[in-house]
Amino acid sequence: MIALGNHRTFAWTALVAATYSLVICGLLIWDAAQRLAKPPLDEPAFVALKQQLTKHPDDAEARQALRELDIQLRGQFFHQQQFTKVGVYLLLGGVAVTLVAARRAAVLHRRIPRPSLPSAAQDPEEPIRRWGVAAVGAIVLGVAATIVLLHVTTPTLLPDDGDLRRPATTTSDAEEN
Amino acid sequence: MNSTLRWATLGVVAAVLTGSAAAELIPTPSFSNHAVPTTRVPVADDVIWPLVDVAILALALGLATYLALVKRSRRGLVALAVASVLWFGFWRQGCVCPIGATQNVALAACDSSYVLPVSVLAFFLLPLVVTLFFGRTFCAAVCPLGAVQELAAVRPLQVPRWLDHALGLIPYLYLGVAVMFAATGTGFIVCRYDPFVAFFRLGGNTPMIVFGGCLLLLGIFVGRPYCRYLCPYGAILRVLAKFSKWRVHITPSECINCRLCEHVCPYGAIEPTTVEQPAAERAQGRRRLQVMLALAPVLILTFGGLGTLLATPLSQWHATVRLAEQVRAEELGVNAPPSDAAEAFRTSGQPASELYQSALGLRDRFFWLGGALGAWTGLVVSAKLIHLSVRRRRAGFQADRAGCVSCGRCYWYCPVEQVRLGWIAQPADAVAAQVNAETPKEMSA
Repeated sequence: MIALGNHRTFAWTALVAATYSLVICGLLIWDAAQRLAKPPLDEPAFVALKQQLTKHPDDAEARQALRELDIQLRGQFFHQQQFTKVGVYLLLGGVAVTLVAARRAAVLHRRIPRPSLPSAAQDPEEPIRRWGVAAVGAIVLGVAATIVLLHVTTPTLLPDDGDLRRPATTTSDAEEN
Repeated sequence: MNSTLRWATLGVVAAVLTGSAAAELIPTPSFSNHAVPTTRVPVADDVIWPLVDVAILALALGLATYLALVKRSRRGLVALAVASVLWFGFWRQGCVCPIGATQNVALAACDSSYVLPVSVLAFFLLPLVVTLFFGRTFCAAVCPLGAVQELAAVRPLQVPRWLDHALGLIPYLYLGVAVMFAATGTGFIVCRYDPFVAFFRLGGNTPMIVFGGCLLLLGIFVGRPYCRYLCPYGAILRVLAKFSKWRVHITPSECINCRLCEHVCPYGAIEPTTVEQPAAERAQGRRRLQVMLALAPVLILTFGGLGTLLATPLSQWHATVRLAEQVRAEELGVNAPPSDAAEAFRTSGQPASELYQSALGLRDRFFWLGGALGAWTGLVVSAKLIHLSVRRRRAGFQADRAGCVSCGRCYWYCPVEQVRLGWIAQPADAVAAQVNAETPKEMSA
């Protein structure tokens, strides 16, 4: 008998590892979304200090506060990045365990193949040949259509060769004038 | 339970996609007392390291060949696949890469100023030579891209062979485009669009991570989608493997036509026994072949002509043409946001007309290259149609020389192999043994 108990163990292991990986993944997505939604240099306090310093460039106190806040924000950002890095390793471990357990479970639960015997009258390659030619024909049409589509939809602004032979007015020439 | 397991696995692999994309946002230093570090040029690798890489690749190829052809061990191949993913994938970060080396070789062949490192040439040639003699053992367990898909293939299903034939054309087209872009110095698109390298480096651009994740998800149910339907190096290996002298033989002696191997191969790489055809069908087959042979030059010329239409789209992949288009757009005041590249060009003082001339020269070049690419497409399609029209005679089930990746799945199922291993007394006992016996060690791989 195929050991079904073992199959269940591995299936449950895969399930638990998958759940764990999904949780890690969720946390990483949440963390990334937070960071992308709130760039550190768009922090209101930081922006306000920058504006204040622009208005009063000699304000030494504001300058110092801005420097300190800048370092603090950078520290937070790189700390979060480290969090992501650790999370990626944990995720990788979870995925590895899931794959190993799932493969093992699949092996233990493998069904015995029971193919029918080949028919002496029917050529097994005939349908492959017929459908294969049709599918290749479809690919050929697809490629041809793609080429035409690319040709039609790709504009170019470059001047013709003839235009370039005439004295050209280029941006750099114009700037010199 | 199977369904739960399948969906859980799907979810987990999806998780990989998003995780490594998180570390992209790096704030630009603006105002702080942070000391900007001095730029340091990385020290070039010692001479010894490329040699070590070549030696390890050769060793891995030898081991894969031994395990696939001599030892006939699926378990050994899986273990080697894990080692390859760890070494060539995660440790060497996908850089010992014969697939990418194809582009270096193409560039070196067309640009005499480009120096091709000997180690890169070795990466490119070693698997080709091995394939020429022993079949695609490189794909079996050495290539990290193939190995990672092999490990992800938890429940591989069979793709209909007719569809497999049609989709199998894509790698040849991709190879043509990749060689053309590499040879013209446009870019190494195989490396840029490598779907798995971001995983190996634990970070990369988001679209490629998503694409790679989708391929891995697909790979749970469709065996090795990248190897079969995209890999340009695999396309070269397929051709060379057709000439391989020693290759995978499913059964160690006479085939008993049980069809078990055909049933379990997830890559559609088993060619069945053929039956004798009546004379009328043979005549029809001959006529079909004649039509395909006559169609070949028509297809090559037609696609050659069509390919010339690609001059503009293809040339715009080249940095010089892109810059010229940008400068021209800004010059004409067309709706184009100003770019740093165009600004840098203007500051250089070079006349724009020179840039346009060089871009037009490139476009002319791509006119002919597009034609060549089209002709290549026509040639590949013709070869496939002729291949589909030729009828071969086979007395037993055989591994398709081109499509077989030497994964060793079929060995375990072959009753004749089981007799050789001493698990059963005669092939007829195979099914009973599979049902009643404890799972053998080899099966667990």
